[in-house]
Amino acid sequence: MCGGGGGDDPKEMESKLALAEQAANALQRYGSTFVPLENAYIQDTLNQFGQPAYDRSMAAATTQTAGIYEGGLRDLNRGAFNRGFDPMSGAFQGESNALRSAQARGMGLAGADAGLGNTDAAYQGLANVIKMGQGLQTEAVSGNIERLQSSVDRAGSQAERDFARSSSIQNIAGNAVGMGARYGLGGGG
Amino acid sequence: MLDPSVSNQVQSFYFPNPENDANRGVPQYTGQNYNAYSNINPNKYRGMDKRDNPGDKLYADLIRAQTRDYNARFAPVESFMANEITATGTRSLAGDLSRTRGSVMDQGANVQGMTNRANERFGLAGNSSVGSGQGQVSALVGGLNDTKLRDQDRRTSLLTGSLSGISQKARGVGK
Repeated sequence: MCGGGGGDDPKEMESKLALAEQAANALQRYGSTFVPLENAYIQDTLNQFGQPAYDRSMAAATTQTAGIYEGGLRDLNRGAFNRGFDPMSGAFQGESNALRSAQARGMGLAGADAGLGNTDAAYQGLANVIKMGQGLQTEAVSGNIERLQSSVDRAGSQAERDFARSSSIQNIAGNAVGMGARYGLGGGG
Repeated sequence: MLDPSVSNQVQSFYFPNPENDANRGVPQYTGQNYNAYSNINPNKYRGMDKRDNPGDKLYADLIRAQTRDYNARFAPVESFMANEITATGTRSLAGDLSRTRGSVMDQGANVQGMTNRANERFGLAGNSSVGSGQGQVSALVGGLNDTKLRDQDRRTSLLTGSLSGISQKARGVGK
C-alpha cells in the first residue's frame, strides 16, 4: 500500500493545547475583571433613559441659560436707571419684556435640547455596547459636560443675538457693536 | 366653552400626564450578574491523549462560552435597539416631545414669575404676560419640529450606520 494511509490518528501538536490554555486564561481574566465593568457600563447606559438623567441635564442647561440672560438684564436695568429711565415707561417695559420673552424661549429650548442630547447619548452608549459585543472597537462617547456645554453654547449665541437686536439697550449702553462680548455672553462661558 | 373632548385633548397636549407611556422608565438589563467565563478550566484537557485533540476541545469550550456570553449580555441590547425603531422614528419620540413641551411651558411660567417679581420690586403690577402667548407658541412649535427631526435622524442612524447600523451587522454575523 502506498500513500501512508491507515495507521494511527495523527497527534495534535502540543502547541495547540498550549495556545488554547493561554486563550482560556485570558478569557478567565476578562471575565473576572472586565465583564463586571462592562455590565456596569451597560446598566449606566440604560439608566440614561430614566427620568433622573433627563432632569439632571435639562435642569443644568436651563439654569446656565438663565444666568446668561440675567447678567444682561441686570446691566440693562443699571444702564437705564443711570440715565434716568422711568421703570414704568413704555420704552423700558417693552424692552424688558422682549428680553424676558427671549429668556423664556432660550431657557425652554436649551432645556429641550439638553433632553434630546440625553436621548442621543443613551442610544450612542447602546451602540457602543453592541460594538463591544461584536468585537468592534468602541468610539469615544461624548460626556455629560460636553453635551451640556453644546446646549449652553447655543443658548449663549442666541442670547447674544437677542441682546444685539435690542435697540434700546444699544442706546442705553451707547454702543451698537459687540453687545454680547460686553455682557459676557461669549458662548456661555 | 370648549367641547369636553377637545378640552381634554388640549389639556393632555399642554399638560401631559407624567405617568403615561412617554415616561417609560429605565429598561431592565438582565445580564448584569452573568459571567460566562467563570467556569472555564484551562487545565481540563491536560493529560488527554493528543490523538483526541485536547486543544481543539478546549477551543470549542471557549467558543461556546463566548457564544453564551454574547447571547446573555449583548443580544438583548441588540434586540432592544431593534425594537426602538418605528415606522417614523424611534420609541423615544413620545418622551422627547413630552419633555420639549414641558421645558418650553415650564420655563415660560418660570420667567413669567421672575418678571412679575421684578416688576413688583419697582412697585408695578405683577401681572406680566411674558413667557406666554405667541412667542411661547412659536418656541413650542419650533422645539417640537426640531424634536421630530432629531428623532427621524436617530432612526436613520440606528438603521444605517453611525448609531450601530444593527441590520448590516446582524447580516454580517457568521461570515
